[in-house]
Amino acid sequence: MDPGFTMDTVKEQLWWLAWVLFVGILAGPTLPQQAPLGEGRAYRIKAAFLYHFSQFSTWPEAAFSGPQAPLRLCILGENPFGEALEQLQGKTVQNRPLEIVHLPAGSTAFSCHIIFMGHMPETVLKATLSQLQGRPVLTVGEQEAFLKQGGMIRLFEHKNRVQFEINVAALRRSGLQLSSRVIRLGHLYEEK
Amino acid sequence: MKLLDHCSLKVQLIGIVLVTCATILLVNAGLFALYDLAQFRRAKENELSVLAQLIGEHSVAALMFQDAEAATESLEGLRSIPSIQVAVLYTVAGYPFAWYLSTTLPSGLPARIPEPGYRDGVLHYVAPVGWDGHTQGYVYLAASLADWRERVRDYAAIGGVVLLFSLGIGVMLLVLLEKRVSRPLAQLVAASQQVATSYDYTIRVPVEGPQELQKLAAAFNEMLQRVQEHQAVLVAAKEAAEEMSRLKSTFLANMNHEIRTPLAGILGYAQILQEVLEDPEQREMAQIIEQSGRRSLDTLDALLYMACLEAGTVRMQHQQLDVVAATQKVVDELLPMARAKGLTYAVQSTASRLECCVDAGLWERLVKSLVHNAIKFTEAGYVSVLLDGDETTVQLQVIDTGIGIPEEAQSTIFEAFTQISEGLTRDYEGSGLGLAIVQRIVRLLNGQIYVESQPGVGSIFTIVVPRCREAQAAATLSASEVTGRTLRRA
Repeated sequence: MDPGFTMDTVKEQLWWLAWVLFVGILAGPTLPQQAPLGEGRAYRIKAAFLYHFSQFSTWPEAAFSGPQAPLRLCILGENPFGEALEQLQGKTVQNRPLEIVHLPAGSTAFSCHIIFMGHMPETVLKATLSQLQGRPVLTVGEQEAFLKQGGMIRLFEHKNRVQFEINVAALRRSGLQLSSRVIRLGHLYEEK
Repeated sequence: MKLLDHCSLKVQLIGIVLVTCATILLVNAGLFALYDLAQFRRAKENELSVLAQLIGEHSVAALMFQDAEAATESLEGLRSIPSIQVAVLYTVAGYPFAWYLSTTLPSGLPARIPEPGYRDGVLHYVAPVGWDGHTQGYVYLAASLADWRERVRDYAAIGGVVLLFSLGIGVMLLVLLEKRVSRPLAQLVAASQQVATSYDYTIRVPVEGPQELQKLAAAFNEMLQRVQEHQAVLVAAKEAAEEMSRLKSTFLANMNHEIRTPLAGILGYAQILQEVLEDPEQREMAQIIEQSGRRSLDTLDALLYMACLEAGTVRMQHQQLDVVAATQKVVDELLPMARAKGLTYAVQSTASRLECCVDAGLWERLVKSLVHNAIKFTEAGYVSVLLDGDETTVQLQVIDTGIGIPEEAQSTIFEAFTQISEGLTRDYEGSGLGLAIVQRIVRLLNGQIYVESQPGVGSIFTIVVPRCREAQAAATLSASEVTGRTLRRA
């Protein structure tokens, strides 16, 4: 290759880097790798992840009261998202409206399809998860022991990125189907 | 085209076939290449659309969960397809999310989604990535059509070989088959050349080859057949005519001798009788016998001379002659005849000497015939002989105030044995050979004769003779031309 060509490529890549930095500042969420993951931004991404999990999941027909029935996303206990949940307002999932429900910690959440469990005492967490055992409800949490106690997906931050861990055995028990596309992306947790 | 005219039929035929074949093959190859390009692009587009769909399916989750690593990993799978230069996943907002750039890529990563289409030998393809009824991002693929170019190169090489091969076969076939056309033509050409050089009309051309050439050969043979027949007829006619002419000459010579001998006896004894006889009445009878004998002798002379002229046996010796003196001599000879009729009679010349290259005997005969005629047909007035000359010709005019010649007769007076005053009453003696002889002499001298006349007023005979032999050649063509015109005298 001639040097002119290489120079051009290097130049272009420099330009590209400059441009990416510029865009990264303006439109942070779209390029999480480049921007530092702040508290607010992380939860905005997590909220989007919740929505995307619902998009890749399949519930049994019985989980809904009718074809037009809403898909319920419940926030159990403390709400760490703040304003971030508002971006999901009015969205649809598999032709169903998305409904966001806030529930106090410890409440029974049988009518929910996805539950995000905020920070709560381990005993309460354990009780709630065992209550939902075998039901088609996708449980998402953040706590270290979430999967160990029977939760399905745990969100965590690593290398400046929001990542997730999946308990495939729990998923299988619930009768829910999470697309293999998502499973491929997540870290797999194996129950002991 | 000029160059083509110098080539033989064979070369032209081969050339035409080669050019035609090559053109057809090249046009075919060109059209095929275009068609193949279109097909190739369509196939490439289909391939890219399938590929884009696969990539979309495979990386939609990574796109949504912002797992660029996973997305890049799945794009890396494209490395096994060498024609793919660039593959980029763009977010919904249109920013690059993950990409694969082939090492041979010259252009780099496009910052925004490029326009789809075909540019600079590269096919750009963009497809949306959808999930759950929403567009989650875009796949952009750029595939080079370089392998098409390679294919075209291969085709061109194969096409070239095929072209040469088929042209070679074409030439071979042509060389074998072309004889069917060119051989009959060559035979025709050879035959016609042979006929042209050898005048051998017995040659025949074999009738073969294509229809037109068969017809041509048949027509050529037919033509030769006709020519041969005509030639035979002509030769026979010529031989017959020559035989006739020879017979005629012999007959005339014999007759001349046979008639002249007794006539000499008659004339001699008529003269003796005129001297011997005492009785005037008897003397007159003897005189009539002598006159009749002389007239017979004159006629015989004229006839013989005419026959000699016709047979071409008159001996001629063309030499420089002063026609003024020669004419004067003849006119003087005929003076008594003019005097007897009481005519004014003179020779006038524009020059005292006019040199002309003619045979003296022919000239004298010519002048004598014309002047004799003029005196004979003129009862009163004058007979005048004018001589004139320019650089190349000598002109002789005999003018009289005689009975003249009607216009309708002017064209026939030069025929032998013709006198105008024909019919029951022949007022003038004579054989009617005079002007015929004149005309033949003029023809021998390569001259021209004209007559202008008006009945009851007179006649003018004009003879123009070239001065020397060189000039005669030029005048040969129109030598025997005879023109009659009506004379109008003031």
